[in-house]
Amino acid sequence: MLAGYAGGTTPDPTYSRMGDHTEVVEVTYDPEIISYEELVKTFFELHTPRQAAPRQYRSVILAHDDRQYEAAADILDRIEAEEGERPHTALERLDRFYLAEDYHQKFYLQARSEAAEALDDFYGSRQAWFDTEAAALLNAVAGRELRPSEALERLEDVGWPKLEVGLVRMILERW
Amino acid sequence: MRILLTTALLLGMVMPAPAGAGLETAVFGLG
Repeated sequence: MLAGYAGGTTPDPTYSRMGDHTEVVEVTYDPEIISYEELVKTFFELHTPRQAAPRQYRSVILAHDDRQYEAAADILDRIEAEEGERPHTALERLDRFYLAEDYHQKFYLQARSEAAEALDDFYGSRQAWFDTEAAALLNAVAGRELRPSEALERLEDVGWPKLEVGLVRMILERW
Repeated sequence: MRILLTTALLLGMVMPAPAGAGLETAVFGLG
């Protein structure tokens, strides 16, 4: 998962010159493990877009293709039918995703300098671990979405390379 | 720890998993 900007027309947006783009996340997923529909449902579990927000912070689904667009449209229709109100979520085609600056990636985890430096050594650079599952798990702990003990339990069946699991375990045990 | 990990990387024991074939992306804005 990476943080970035999309949904607008301003060329090469940055945090200070975002123009008409919106702050977004790009989620990389394995459709054999989780479907796009399940991701869209999770998206609606994570926030309740009941009112319009400034464009920078709006709720938006940016579809890559017809299949994603139709799946998201179906879910929006279903929510409207069930709840009697359509979420204030825009559904549009993705033009392109612009990666946000390094300091926006895995924000909570980067504030844990000891853990971040251990990951730097392991992956070879800071940028190299931003989009890893290991960093996503550790960032959830750093952001207090998950307790270290819960993250350690999840390590039992992640299926990552042995040494990667060992590194994350060591970081969590020293948390 | 720094030396251990660097050595392991050099020996090719540890490679971050490559982006697997069949992976897809989804883009969302949620405030």
